[in-house]
Amino acid sequence: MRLVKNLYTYVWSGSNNNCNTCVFAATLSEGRHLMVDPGHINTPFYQEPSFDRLLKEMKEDGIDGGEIGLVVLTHAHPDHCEAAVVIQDKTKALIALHEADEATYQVIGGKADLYLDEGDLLLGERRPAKFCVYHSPGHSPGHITLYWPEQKVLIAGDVIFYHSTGRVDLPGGNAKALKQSIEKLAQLDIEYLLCGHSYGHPGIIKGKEAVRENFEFLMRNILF
Amino acid sequence: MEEHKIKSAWEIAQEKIARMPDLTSEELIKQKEREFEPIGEAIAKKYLGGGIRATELKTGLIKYRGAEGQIVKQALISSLAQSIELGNDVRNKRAMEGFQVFAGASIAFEEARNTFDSINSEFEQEIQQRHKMFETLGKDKLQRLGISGSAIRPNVKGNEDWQHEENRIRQSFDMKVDRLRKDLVQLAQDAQL
Repeated sequence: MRLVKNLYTYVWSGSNNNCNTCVFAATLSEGRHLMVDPGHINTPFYQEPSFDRLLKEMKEDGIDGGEIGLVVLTHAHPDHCEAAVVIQDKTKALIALHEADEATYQVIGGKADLYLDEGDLLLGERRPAKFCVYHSPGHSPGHITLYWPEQKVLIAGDVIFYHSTGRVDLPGGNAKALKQSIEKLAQLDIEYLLCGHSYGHPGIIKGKEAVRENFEFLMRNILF
Repeated sequence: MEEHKIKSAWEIAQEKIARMPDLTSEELIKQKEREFEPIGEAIAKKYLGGGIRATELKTGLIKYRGAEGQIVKQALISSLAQSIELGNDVRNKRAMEGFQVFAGASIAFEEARNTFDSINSEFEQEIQQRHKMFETLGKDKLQRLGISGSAIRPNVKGNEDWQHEENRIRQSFDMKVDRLRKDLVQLAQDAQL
């Protein structure tokens, strides 16, 4: 589903756990795409072919999965990064993540081509689109979030959900760091907050008011 | 009538052993080495892993006297020498502190330590220069793909070409490091316990 300009969002609607995916179509050289968090290849337990389903949905939007040029991983949990290994193998796409999550990514056989630190990420040749990368640890030590100032979009991964936050009880989790990450992101001017999972919500928090209300809810009820 | 005694397996084994020739002195030495070298290696491993302090290295040797003590000490200092690895500053510092326990604060030891520092710094400088070059090349390649900005940093250490380059640089220092290892072992060997 096209959300804004060339940003497409694919909200997971299967039975098992899997993440939501974002695609910035034709944003790289030669019209190649940026994908954020491709998710599982097949979901655990029920073995739903989640990655095939994602490719099918992208195709319906006119996006060729074979033309992915860069995969950004918000973090290296398998429900976000497992399919990246397949994409890298089949399309020679580059894989980017924060170095602090590299060891976790290597456990599933992943190999990072580049690291993302806090700073600007410019995509495209002539008039590159500017993204801001934020290091947002807490759910994992190398979790990053991606902010697109032009359209006020925040890809929040597993840091912020609707009226909830990412869990901190997994290896490398840190509640204090998560609180600080969320407080920092709350300062941004956000129109669309894209959550890494829907958890009973559409998975996209739309509108400044709704985003602000969500931050306030988290501060009041979860991060006090 | 001749009486046949039924022998136990133990008795048969004892008889066989009694018929075997004694070990030669060379075999005896080898046997001792097999027995005591692992002890020296284990003490070094424990020390390098932070399990004991440098001052405890000598106390670890006290219970082994004579030829046995020499074998343990030799294995210990050989292990310390082998643990020296360019670029591994934490371990190298620990290995040098270990050597100092045996070699003492002699001029010869200080010279060896300074030589190592100078080799290590030459190595690190070369590694840094080449790493920077690989990083620049990586960023140029990313730029051509339409990926740039202050957030990106190519994964140089995961690049196979870099791994070959790092090995090449390391090998170019092998002779110098080996010579230094031998000098350190000699210094520690010559010193009395």
